[in-house]
Amino acid sequence: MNFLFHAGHAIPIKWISISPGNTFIKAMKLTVILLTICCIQVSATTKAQQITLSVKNAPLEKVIEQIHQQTGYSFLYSVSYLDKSLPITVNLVNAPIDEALSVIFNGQPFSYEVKEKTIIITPKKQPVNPQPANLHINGSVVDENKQPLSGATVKVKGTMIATVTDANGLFTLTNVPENATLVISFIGYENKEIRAAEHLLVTLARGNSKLDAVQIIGYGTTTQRLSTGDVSSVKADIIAEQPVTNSLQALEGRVPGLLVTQSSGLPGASVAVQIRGQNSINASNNPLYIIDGVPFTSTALERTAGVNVVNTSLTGLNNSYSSPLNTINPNDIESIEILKDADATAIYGSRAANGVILITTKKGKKGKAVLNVDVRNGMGEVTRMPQLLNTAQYLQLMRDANANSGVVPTAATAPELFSFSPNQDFNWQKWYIGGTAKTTDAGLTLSGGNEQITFLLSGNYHNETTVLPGNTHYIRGGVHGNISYNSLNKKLNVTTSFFYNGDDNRLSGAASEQPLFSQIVREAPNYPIYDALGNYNWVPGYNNWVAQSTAYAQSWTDNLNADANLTYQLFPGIKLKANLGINKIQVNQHNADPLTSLSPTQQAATGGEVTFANNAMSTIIFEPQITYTKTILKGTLDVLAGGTLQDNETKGQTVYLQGYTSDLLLNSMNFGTVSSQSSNDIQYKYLSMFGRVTYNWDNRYIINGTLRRDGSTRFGQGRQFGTFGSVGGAWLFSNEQFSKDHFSWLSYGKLRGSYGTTGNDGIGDYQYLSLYGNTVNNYGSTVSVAPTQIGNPDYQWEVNKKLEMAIELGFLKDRILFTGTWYRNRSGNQLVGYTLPSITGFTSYTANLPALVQNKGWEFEMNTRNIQSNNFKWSTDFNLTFPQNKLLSFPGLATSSYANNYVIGQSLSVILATHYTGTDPATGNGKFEDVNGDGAIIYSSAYNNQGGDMIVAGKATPDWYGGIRNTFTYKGWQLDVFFQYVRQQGYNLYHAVNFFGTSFDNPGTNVWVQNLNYWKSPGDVGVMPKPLSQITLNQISYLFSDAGVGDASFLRLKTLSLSYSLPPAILSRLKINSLKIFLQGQNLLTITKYIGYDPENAELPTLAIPPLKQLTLGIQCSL
Amino acid sequence: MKTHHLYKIFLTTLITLASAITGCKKFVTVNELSDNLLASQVFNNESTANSAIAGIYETMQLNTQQSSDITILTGLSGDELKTYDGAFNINYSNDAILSNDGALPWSELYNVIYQCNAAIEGLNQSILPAPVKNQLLGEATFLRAYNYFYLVNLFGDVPLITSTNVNVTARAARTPVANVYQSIIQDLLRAQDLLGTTNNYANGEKTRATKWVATALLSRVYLYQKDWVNASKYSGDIIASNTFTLDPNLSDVFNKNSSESILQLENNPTLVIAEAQDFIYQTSPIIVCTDSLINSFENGDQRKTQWIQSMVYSGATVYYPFKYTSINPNPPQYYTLFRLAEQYLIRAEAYAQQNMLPAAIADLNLIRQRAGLNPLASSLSQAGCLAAIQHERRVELFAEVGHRWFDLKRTGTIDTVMNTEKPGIWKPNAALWPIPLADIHADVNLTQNPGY
Repeated sequence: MNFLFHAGHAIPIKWISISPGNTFIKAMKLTVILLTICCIQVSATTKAQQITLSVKNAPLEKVIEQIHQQTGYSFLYSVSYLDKSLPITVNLVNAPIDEALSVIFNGQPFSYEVKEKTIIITPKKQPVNPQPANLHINGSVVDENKQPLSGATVKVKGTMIATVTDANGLFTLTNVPENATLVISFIGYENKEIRAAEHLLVTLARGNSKLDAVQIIGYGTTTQRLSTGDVSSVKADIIAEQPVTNSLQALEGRVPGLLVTQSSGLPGASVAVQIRGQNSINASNNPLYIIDGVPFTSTALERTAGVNVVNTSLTGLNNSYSSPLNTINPNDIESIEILKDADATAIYGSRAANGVILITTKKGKKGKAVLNVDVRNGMGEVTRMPQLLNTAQYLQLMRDANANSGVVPTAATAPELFSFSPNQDFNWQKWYIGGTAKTTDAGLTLSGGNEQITFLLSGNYHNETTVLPGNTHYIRGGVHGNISYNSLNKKLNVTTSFFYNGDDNRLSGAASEQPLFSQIVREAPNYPIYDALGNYNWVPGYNNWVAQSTAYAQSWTDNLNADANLTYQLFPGIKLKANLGINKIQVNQHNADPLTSLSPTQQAATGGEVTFANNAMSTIIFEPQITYTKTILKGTLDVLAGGTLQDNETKGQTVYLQGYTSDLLLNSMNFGTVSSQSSNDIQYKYLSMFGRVTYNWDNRYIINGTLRRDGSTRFGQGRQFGTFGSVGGAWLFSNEQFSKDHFSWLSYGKLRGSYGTTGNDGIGDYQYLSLYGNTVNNYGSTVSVAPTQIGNPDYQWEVNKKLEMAIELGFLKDRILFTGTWYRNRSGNQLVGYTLPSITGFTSYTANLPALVQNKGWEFEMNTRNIQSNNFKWSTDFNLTFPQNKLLSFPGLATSSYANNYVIGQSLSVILATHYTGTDPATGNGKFEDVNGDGAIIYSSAYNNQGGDMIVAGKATPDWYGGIRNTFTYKGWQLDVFFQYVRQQGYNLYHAVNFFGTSFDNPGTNVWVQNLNYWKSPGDVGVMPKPLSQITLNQISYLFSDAGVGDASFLRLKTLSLSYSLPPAILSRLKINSLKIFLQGQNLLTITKYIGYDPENAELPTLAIPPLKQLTLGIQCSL
Repeated sequence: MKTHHLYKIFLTTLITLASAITGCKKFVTVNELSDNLLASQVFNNESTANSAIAGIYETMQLNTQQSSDITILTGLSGDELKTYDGAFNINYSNDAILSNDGALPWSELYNVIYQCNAAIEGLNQSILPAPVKNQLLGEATFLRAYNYFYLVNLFGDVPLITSTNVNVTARAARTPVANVYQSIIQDLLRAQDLLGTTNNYANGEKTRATKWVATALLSRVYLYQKDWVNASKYSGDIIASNTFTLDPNLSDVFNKNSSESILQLENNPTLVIAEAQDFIYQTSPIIVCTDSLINSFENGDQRKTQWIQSMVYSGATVYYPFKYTSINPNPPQYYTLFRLAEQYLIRAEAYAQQNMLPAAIADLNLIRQRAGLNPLASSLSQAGCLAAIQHERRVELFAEVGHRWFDLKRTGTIDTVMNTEKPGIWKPNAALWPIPLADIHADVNLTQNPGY
């Protein structure tokens, strides 16, 4: 009876569900047979599927016992049979069970049948007649996770007899000769040959080509081979080899079409991410981030300047403020998928105009529990520091400037020349950003599991100091977990993942006394920092930055992400899914100006000043889904339908206090006087339905259609809903017979294309509503409110139409893979602050403008496995992008607030500047092109009727960019070398905002040695205009001229990673699984002609603290 | 199980899902905000509705603190004030205002009108009880008229905006002055009606409109319209109501809730009166009184000593308005928009125009006597009486939200006066300021005043 119990379970469940009657009869038959035989006790433990066995002339019974112990498979046979068995001699190493069985039973007078985990041994039928019997085969094909594979081809070897598995992986073949061999093939999997039998369960192993690696897409997975869309993946190994704090930094240069720039070298700094260029004039250009199914904010939550101000050096940058993604531990990430074209993104509808970035965290894996320990230590410095003038040069420049302006300096107007010491030479730059940042990382991961439950638990800690002076740090720590449960019958899967990370970011010199990087480095090198008594010295008109750097900004961020995912197979081919996710991210800020940071005048006026702020955003998302899979003719149909309910709330408060009398009290609100306070509370809700239909005909033709209908609270009544969709198709021509016949060297060939629309709702909330808010003051004692905006109930999403064509090729068994892509995205219906005549009550409101922005370009990617010998491997990954951004039309540009920024036909990043034609050798004045011939140089746009002389001088986005990664492996050694190249123009040190120092009527206006090449006496040729102490129109024209715009291309050794893994022999002696020692470098070498700080930050006319070059030494051990 | 069953199951689930989700359409509707108020809800709650009306006064108060302050700009354009440092708003002093001048009080006035229109629209739909609704509606209607009064007198024909609907207002053209006045009178009569039951100021603060406030503007508008009968009637009503009395003490006239004031703007205790800051100098003078203003005071006129202050700067004596005496927070005064003295002067002028000279002179003498001057003889001719009234208006109402500039224009004396005041500089077209260029660009139907 014991056996029967097990046998009942052993019968594949899918059979029961298809035809319960049939199963009953089968079960009865089995019962009868089984009553006459005995059994081996089956234990429920899950064991390996592979068999390692080395025996010589062993009895079958012993071998069976071994297999049972190793795999948990049980055997059914009559004891009497064994008498007839022949002794067995085999040598198997990690052989799959099917293979092992076929070897073991080869020549034995038995045949066997595998049914789930039971192997039934029966005597070989003696042929009744010499004609071989024809078999009626019922079989099923599954993958390594026991998931049915639909669409697999089952072919009788050497014949034309073939069939395809259905949605449940089942197939039937009739009239198959008994001794025939079946060839089972499925794209992306390795082919398998198996002897024909009445009942077959075939497990296919996944192919090891990059084309067949699992690729996460919106609400599903695919592989590059079968994908109709444009999806790039960056896997954990690439992230792990880079010593970065923010995982987005690890994407720099790795993905074609993805431009990643970090705003500064300080921890927590924002990272600008753009997929295929700027689509929107005014709305967000950030991609949509989804972490384990939960949307994640891309905009910083800080309510008050602070950490972010130091980070970005100046407010008002494109992607200013810190990056919330910083709070995600790069080590927790399994893969990052970048979705680019309409086919891949349209399933995300109204939020997908700027592409989608899917982040998937690590999951537990089946097998023995493994404990991973990872410890690393590193240091970093800023990449580049252009040299500033020393005191002697600085004073000479001041004297020349005063002489040129005819000004006689006095102790009052130029204390540098009179009262400051000419012998002091303080390097402000070195003091402020010349430090070394030290990092320590530690991580611990435990993961494992069996057929039913897998788990992963990890903890991480990261501690980083900064290059800034003073007490600064960035500390992050957290936990990450994942549990997955599969029911025995494989119908139910429940997965839950969560992570919590907290960080503590403290930077010096922020708060309201913002010592901006650009001001600090230009401070007079002989400014007397201390007075005779050793106290901070405050000279009127100057900033004492050493004192002011005792101001600090601190922020604490908590980020909790959790999601539960439930999948249930309701019927064969139909699955129900539900995903429930939450994300809660909260920032607490404390910015303080201690008395030590304030001048005596300000100490008296305000006392110590502190800002306390907090802001919390919580997102809840619920996504029910249903999928349906069916084989129709020679193809497979996959249908997905689902819905989204999302609720997103942001609440925050800010309190600004003054009057602190001691620096010891700054941490409490109790000791200050409230000077101002504010709060915000925003709700953003989202509702949608989506569907996707994919039909794959014989792995040759694939068509994919997506539809999504979205409703969002960011739009007015009747405008909340919009419909987006796409069509994509792929033709795998390498699977055509003609290709197989004539182009056997072509292992993979695919043409794909897609077209569709996505939307952009990246505008503020409630813009469509007419609202009342608080007035600056109350009306006497009466609380008063006034309209804050004029509502526009009519505006709609920005619509982005994406078109893409691509060819993907694989040669020499996919050792060379190539992808070439052409895309064109057009964004219309632009949401802008539309200019209104003020007679309406307001001067602008949010409205759609029929302006059209186009991004088009070419992207290339190539992966080659150059050498693949046993001991030595060399592979290369290469990518290259040629983007082009163009403003196609903008009705009313000339009268809009954008008239001085944009030019039709040019990029949105166009740089307008006066054209500098040289310096007059006689006078030392700059000469400029008078574009409109009015005799004066006016620094406004020469286009759009602005009447100025500023013409197109370039653009601040790349002409092309790319990266190349070479990986060398020799035994336990691995070397990764990654170079990044960007061809671009940008603002250099001669530009206005950087170089306003030419007017020496401002205190603290040092410049860089490059600026010393100025006109000194009549006859000087090829020099910069003469410096002046009082600014003139000529001088301004120079500062706004194209002299400040130049080449900012760079080639950078982005990543260098060397690792050594201990060989197995030593490992087994140490009794550990693996041990790896590694040395990693980031931004080690930069080759550029750029005149300025780091060329990565050249797109804005401001100075930014350069990114860091980092070196890290680490050890990774798996127990 | 057969395929078509699966289809059915799939479709049924799909339809259930679809209807469940589309059934939640309300999910994406915002019903309430906590940091802001929905315009559609503000006027259905007595407290927030009151706050919204208070917000209109507060915005007007805020506008007096901006560069667009009407007292200073009209004073500079006219013959009351001049820039001392030769730079501050010199284009106004030179009557050469550029159409892109940032100080032009245009968008500020239209913003207040938007608030009034929003309030009127909101209150007309409101569920509030009639007494509350009428009071607030009356105030909003009055405030709209008040701001149009300034627009029409500063710029001439102006777009008459009575709606908040952008689709209606963004392409509006200019409305003739007469029609704008018609609308102003209509609003004021309605405001009188709506405010009819409330003669008393709430909490003793004269900082919200009442029936008498509406009446005070009405008499001024009729005066400007040369409707002498109505001008004397309405100013007479105010005087006869005995609600207000002339303050015997000149230094008390602008005090908070003085017996003479009809409408003042309440000052937040933490704030100063910005106009005081513009005039009262801490270091060097910026805006000072013109010589002609100083010289126009008769000997012994107490107003010259009480309401004007002088200081010696760089060896020269400069004079500046001193109606508001403090540059510190919580000053003793409120910014005054309407006061009884003006009503006496309106009635005097209306009587004089109707040739009711003794009554006119009697009113005029009340003002003169308070300033410490001798009464005028009752034997004055009509022309002499009118001239005396204009003179009296100049010295009584100087530096008070544009009275002098408007008087010059409505009496047709502007060219004569200004040619004497600014010989070679004055151009007749300068009587109307330019329409801001940004609005001309943004609204194709908007035309510019001549000369800009």
